[in-house]
Amino acid sequence: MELIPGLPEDLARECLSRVPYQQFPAVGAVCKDWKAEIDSPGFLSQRKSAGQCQALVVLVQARPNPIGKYCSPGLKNMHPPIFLPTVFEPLSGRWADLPSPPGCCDGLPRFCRLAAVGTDLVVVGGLDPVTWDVTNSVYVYSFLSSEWRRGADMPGGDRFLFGCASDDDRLVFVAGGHDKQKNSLRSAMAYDVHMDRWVQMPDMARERDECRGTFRGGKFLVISGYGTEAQGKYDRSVEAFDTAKWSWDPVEENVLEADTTPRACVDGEGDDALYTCRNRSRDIAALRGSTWTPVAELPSDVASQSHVMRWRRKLLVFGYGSGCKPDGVSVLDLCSNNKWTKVEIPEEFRGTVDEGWVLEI
Amino acid sequence: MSEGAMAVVKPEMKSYIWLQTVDGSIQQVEEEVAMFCPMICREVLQTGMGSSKNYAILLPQRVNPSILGLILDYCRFHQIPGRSNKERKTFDEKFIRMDTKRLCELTSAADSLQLKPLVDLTSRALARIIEGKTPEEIRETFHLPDDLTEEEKLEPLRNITDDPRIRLLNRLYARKRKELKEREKLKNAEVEEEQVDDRSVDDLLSFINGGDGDTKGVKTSKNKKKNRRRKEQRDSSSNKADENLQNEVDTAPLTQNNAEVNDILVATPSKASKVQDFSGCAFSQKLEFDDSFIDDDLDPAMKEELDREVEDFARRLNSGWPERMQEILSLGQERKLIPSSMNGNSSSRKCISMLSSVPFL
Repeated sequence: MELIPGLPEDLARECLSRVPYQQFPAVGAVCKDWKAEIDSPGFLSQRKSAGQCQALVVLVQARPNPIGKYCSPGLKNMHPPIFLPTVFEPLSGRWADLPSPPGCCDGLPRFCRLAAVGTDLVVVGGLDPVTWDVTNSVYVYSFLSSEWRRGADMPGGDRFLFGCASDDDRLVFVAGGHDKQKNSLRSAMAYDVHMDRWVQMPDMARERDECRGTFRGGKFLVISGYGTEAQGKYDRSVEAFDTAKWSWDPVEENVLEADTTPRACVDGEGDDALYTCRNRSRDIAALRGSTWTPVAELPSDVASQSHVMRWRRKLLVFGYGSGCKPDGVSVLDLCSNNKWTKVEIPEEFRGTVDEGWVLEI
Repeated sequence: MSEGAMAVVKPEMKSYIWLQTVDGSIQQVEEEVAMFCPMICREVLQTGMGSSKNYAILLPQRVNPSILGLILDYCRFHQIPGRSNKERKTFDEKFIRMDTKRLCELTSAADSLQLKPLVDLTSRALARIIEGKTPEEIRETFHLPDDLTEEEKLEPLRNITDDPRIRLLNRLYARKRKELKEREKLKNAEVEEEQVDDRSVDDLLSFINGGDGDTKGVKTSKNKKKNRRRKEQRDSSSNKADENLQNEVDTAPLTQNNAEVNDILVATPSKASKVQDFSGCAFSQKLEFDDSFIDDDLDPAMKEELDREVEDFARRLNSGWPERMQEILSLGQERKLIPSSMNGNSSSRKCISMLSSVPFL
């Protein structure tokens, strides 16, 4: 049976690989051959090599919570914002809601971490939005079927404010954070999305609470964080986990400048190892070699504590204007003379960003 | 007038290329138009063909005369270098307005003539046709078979073994079986029944552990004979629930093999119950679901009751997600297998407790 009658297979495959991601579930529901095609690992790699990928910025964002809309009676009289997944397409400027996981009527956990492997988006940990208890839950959203499923919980005790990143191939890495007694953690583990299984990793050299996780050059980087005895005093070191060797590299000391918050750090591209949003000098700086070089000044309408993400050779800074809600995404193009452009955020999507992740599918 | 005479191109001066389509008909085409097709260009330059009627270039089979006409229109327009991008785009948009079948023929023909810009244009058009259509509409447009089962249409497309519905169904089936065994045990207080009880737990273990081979032990050969007998019985009764289960099970790909298990370090056993919360029960990974040997000592009436319950549950599971959630929750407290709150560990531990002696991987 031909994929598309009248077309040679490779052409049919090319046509299928050009459909927008929102159509994946429909494509998979047409017939057996189409379902097999979209399920195959070749599908995504074909899109990538043909340059047909779509960039998606998935965010966990505060959304307005009108009375009675969400089911928990406990929140009814309070209407605090509820944190839900949204998606922003930087190329088209389109914003959309993503469905919520079933069972999460009160929204996603607060301060959860996001990472993605292929077309699967993984949401790990955070605080239960009603009880504010730490949860080790794992939710996975498949962009192929536009459905959520529950993954295996993070094993071990409570873990909160840990660093998290994926290799976009198989594993979501998690390291550091703190436990119930606010002890900083040194341990790390990885989640195999396909097998729905957690795997222990060797411990880091140092305890790292509130560290930032990122993935670069085949290594899971854990940036900064602080030990139990040094609450709030962000360390300037970075530890890298070599996934091929399955071991941690020696600690790299004095990487960050003093007074840098890990959450303002973002993995770099090309010659730049890291980027950071600096509050004091109100600029973006890049780590080249061992020095931090200013790259561009922050636009005047971007306040200090914003969310920063990298998409290819662009930095996305979610800026707060005069109000307390982000009203625009300032995009810094690192290729063309470090120019800033601003993408307006539609009114209904102006909510605080807890966390985000960029996918190319 | 003399200048005008200079401007006139005498017809004999214009060059033509002779082309022959698969049906035998031969036509001549202006050289610059025909040479726009890389395949024709190569034939002319490498073999010298096409200069006269007797030496017409034989076009690929996929190019029939009417499609050739279309392609030549395309070439005739685009081979003129002076045209602006806007003009070309406008032409293209009008050009591809044709029925789907013709569009497929055109794509195929353009591909055989290696006319990449036209292939891109037509594949994009086909992708646009697929976009925004329901699966049913897509099937109609491309004349594709409707060969997916209802379950397959609703299932998340990847990680079928991780489908919570299958896991839930398995778990429920196992639990129901145990309940029925308990009831039987109460009826007959003989020692033989005790043995049956043990055996059933072992059998539960073996299919839970996914037929690792280790736990089946001596009982395998005995069971095989009974399996065959039971299978025949089962086939004749053609119970829908069994079919559903078998279908779901048969399509589940083998995701685990022993080599991988050895390579991966797993979280310590004491944490196992937390790890295996909602999703991780090992029996979901290799679904050699052969329950016949377990049912050996149930009388037919009980088996029927069990099958009916499972069928009912399978039907309910296959309805939409929100409805599913409501139904599952309304089955009662003791059956609350899917936690509605984020901190699912406590309720899931309840459902695993009956199998607490099982050492999970």
